[in-house]
Amino acid sequence: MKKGKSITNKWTNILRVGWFLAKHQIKNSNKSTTFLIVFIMMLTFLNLVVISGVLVGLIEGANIANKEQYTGDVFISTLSGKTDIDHTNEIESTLRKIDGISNISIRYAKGGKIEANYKTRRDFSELQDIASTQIVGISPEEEDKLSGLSKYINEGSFLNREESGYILIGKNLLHRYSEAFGDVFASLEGVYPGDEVKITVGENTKTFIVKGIISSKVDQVSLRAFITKEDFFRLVDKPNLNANEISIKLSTNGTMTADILKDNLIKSNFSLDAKIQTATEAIPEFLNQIRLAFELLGNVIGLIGILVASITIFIVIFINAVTRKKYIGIMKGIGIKERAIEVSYVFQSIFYASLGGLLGLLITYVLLVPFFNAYPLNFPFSDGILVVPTNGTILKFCLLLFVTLIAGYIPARRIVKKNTLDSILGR
Amino acid sequence: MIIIKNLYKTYKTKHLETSVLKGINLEVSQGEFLGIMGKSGAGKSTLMYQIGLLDHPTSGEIILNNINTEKLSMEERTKMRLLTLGYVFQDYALIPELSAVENVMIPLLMMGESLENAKKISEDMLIKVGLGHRIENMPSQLSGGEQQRVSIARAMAHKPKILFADEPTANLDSVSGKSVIELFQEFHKKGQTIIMVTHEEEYAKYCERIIYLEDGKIVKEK
Repeated sequence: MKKGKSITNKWTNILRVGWFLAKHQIKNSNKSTTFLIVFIMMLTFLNLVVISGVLVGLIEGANIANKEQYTGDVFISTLSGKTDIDHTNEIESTLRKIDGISNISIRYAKGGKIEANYKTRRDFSELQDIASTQIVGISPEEEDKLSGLSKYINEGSFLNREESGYILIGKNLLHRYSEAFGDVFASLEGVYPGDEVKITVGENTKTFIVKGIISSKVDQVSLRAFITKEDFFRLVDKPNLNANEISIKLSTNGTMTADILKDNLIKSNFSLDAKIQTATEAIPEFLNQIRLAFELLGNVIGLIGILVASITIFIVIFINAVTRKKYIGIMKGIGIKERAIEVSYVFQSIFYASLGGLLGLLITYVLLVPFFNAYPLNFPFSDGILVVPTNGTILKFCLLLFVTLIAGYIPARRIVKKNTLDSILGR
Repeated sequence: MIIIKNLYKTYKTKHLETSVLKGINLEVSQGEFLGIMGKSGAGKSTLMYQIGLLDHPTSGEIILNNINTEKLSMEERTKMRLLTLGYVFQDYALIPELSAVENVMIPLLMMGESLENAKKISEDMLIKVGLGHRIENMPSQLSGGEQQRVSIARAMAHKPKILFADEPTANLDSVSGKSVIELFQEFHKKGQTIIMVTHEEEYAKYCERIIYLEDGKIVKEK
């Protein structure tokens, strides 16, 4: 007990004296130099957090858009090998009774073709202006409540349930929007709201008037065409009223979560009729892979920044200790423990890193995150946001502290362990 | 109190060996004020550094308060310097970023004194050495004499058994130098053991006993 207490006291004294020396060194040091070192630490922290945050945010932005505009919180789709969702009516009536669900959109989809400019095609040796796509039948009100589809109309207007014979076309089906894709898929020339197009599904062909053009970064929206579900049933040969997709949006203030809802639906055996996924599970695997790669890339870049910062601290502490070698010798001479002197330099390193890191945290959460949320980066495939998960950020902060602690300790130890008398006499 | 037996100190470099102390035998009693004098290069400061545990002799024994110091570990030597010895250096050796009182407090904090106690003791000691009005001043704001008195306060604050002073008046004018020596006299009168290296006869006369070194040996005692 006594030995333990004596070791505690010894270390308490060492830390006390180390802190005392560090505090006064920092207080009386050159303010510009201190500011510069803290600034470097802040930039290092921002580099560590923001670079990977932006790279991951490109994908996360796409995932969020995918959830908001397509899958919802829970996504029910066709099982592999099936053509539609069995017992759609049962599933729908069950969903409509569940507390915690705010919106549902039921979609009926079939592959088809859109032909444009057929009236103006004089030379029949020319290729028809045709694009293949998924024709999707929706309830306009329900779809708009779930995904806000009407917000993405950038030409014309949204569908109306009372109207028939109108179609919304995703912009990537039009050549003027999808030139960048080259010849990857066929697209339509010069189609505008008010134009007539022919829709062919199976053996059936009908003309529709283009009501609007949808501009979205989600492929499942911008590479499809939407008509009312009533028009869809008139267009296709559908022996049953089974849907192909059901998107479910949960209430934000309820206790229902996507996982709970999914589990409940599985327990009700609906997984025999359809594939049930949460929004996260419905993310295409390739996007997850890209996210991992970006995370890794961001971390590598951040680690290089940390290396540079630790070298900076090493040099700063080394120069400080070398120029104060005499005073270090004197302190050792009058009985100050080497450890206490080393600890004072460690405290200084931690001061620079923690102040810089805290400023970085402040800038990240108070400035950058709200800024990127309000003004996301405009990429062709997503609105890039800044992703800074709390746990990961705290871990990076601790990493910065740890690395600078080591970077400050090593040069201090080198100088402090030099011969006391040689240090005092400047030998 | 201090027994030195057959002390040798040789400095070795790659190409050269220099014997600085050659068989010093010396005893210092408790409460004695000993002066060490000699020409430049005689080994005065070297002798003081050996006795003050700032260096290791090449051979010989140094016994302080019945403890054979050559048997002490590095940590024990540091502890002994902290608890029982006090140092006054020629160039004051104050820590520039600490004020006068903070310079005096440092060894007390290392000994485990609380911040408040250490400050109180340090302030009292500074008042004793005549610097009550300079407690919060930084070393750069003090004259040479004042800095040396802060150095003395630091050396004496923890009531050391032995006070070592290496040319304490060398960088001072005569007035300041005299005030420093008078301080030593005051401490000595209260029973403080002091070993002082000096080359100035006018200050050496304050010592009870003076040993003269020449070429690493004690050649005379007065």
